[in-house]
Amino acid sequence: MIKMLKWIGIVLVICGSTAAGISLSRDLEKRVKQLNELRKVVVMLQGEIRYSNAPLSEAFHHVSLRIKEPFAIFLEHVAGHMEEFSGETLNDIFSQHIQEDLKYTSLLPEDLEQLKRLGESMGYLDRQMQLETMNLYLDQVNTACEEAAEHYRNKSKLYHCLGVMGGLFLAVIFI
Amino acid sequence: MIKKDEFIKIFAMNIRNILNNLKVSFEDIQEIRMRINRPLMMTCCGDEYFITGKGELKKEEQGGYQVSKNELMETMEYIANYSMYAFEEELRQGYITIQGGHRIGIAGKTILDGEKIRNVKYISFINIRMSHQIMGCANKVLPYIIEERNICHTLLISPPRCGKTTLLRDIIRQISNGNKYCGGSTVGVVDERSEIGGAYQGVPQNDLGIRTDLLDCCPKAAGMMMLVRSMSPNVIAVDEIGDYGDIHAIESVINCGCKLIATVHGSSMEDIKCKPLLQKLVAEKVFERYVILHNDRGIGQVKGIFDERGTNILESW
Repeated sequence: MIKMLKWIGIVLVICGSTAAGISLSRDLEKRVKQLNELRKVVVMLQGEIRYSNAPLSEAFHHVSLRIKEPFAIFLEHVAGHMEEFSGETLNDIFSQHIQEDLKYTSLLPEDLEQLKRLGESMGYLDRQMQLETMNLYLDQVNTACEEAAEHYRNKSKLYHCLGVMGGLFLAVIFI
Repeated sequence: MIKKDEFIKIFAMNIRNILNNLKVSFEDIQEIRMRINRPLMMTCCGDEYFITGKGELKKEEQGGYQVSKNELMETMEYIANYSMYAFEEELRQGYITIQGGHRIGIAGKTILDGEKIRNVKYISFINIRMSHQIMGCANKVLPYIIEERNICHTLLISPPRCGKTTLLRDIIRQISNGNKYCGGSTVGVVDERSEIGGAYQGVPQNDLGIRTDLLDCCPKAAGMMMLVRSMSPNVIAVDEIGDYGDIHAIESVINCGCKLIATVHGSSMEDIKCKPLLQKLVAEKVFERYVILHNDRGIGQVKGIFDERGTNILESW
């Protein structure tokens, strides 16, 4: 009976360790996907500004209807908050919702920091400057996206293997 | 009815609190003026008042709430919905129209591009002109501009702040819905400054009637022709004709068989006859009715209604 429990434990350790490896690899993949979605958000916002000259709250609302979570809810919340005219600056509103709505994404703190900086430069200046600021951010997201994709390609198999091997290593020690 | 809560949101928080304490009806307010380091002022029922920090109205400057630079900037952020870039064209012309059709006049330092105004920065003066919807204010004018169930080409002439847009809006509504002088007609409105319909995302917030099509934020000359081609209106209405492009478009509209109702700044028939812009239209008797407004005894008073020959046909009210 004890032997059987031991074997069950070993199997569980191997499974757990493998799952941890897969989860880490998935996180890398999710970051790539989310950065791509973020890129899509910025391109769509640029379209709203360039072609329909929409104010930001309207642009956020329109884009939120055509993109995936978690950015859809983030933009919807920012648009709603902006329309309250609650005495906060756009930068405050943007930062607040980055913290609240994008907290549990696979984006790294530096990705969120870049997004916050975009919030700092939105809303004022002329249309051309607004679009160019977004272009600048888009370049940063593109670079981050390429790096994340490269990182995923290099590390995903490694994490899988490490997960399995780590499990086996622990199993050997327990035996 | 002015939606007070909706309207008051465009002001900085401090000023919002002050205006919330005002004891006057928002329907009576015509203008609210903000100038950096100057007292907050308003025009109400034709009289000018200073607003104190407690929301009281005073005739004397002392005690008037001093508007700070930050409050004015915060107000501008809200007016532009945190998106100044979206109002570049409006800023160039010196005003922004917000939801509800209220017009925000601005002044500050202009940035020039050659001889053209490219933008306005350091906005330091704001004049908020309230848009009022007064149902039925055109009742007394309608029998004069509708003859044997036909609508006449009409020009509403008035100095600023005499209610010409309010009158035009009600004329549009009543012609569109139908009234006791004629049945309902399709009306096309070119609302270059969003003042007539006060449209928000294309939908008029003011009642313009059930048969009205609105072209919002569109230059008048292009808009009139576009409406004639696309919406086949019986009547076309425009506010504040101002240049030769508008005049050419008016000539085309009239030749297309549409009736035209327009407004222009002026205070008498003589004014209009002296304006180079309108001389030709008056001489050719294009307009069949001229309605002249004044505000000597309150806003929206009709001073005279003239036919195409310049005869005053207004009976004393």
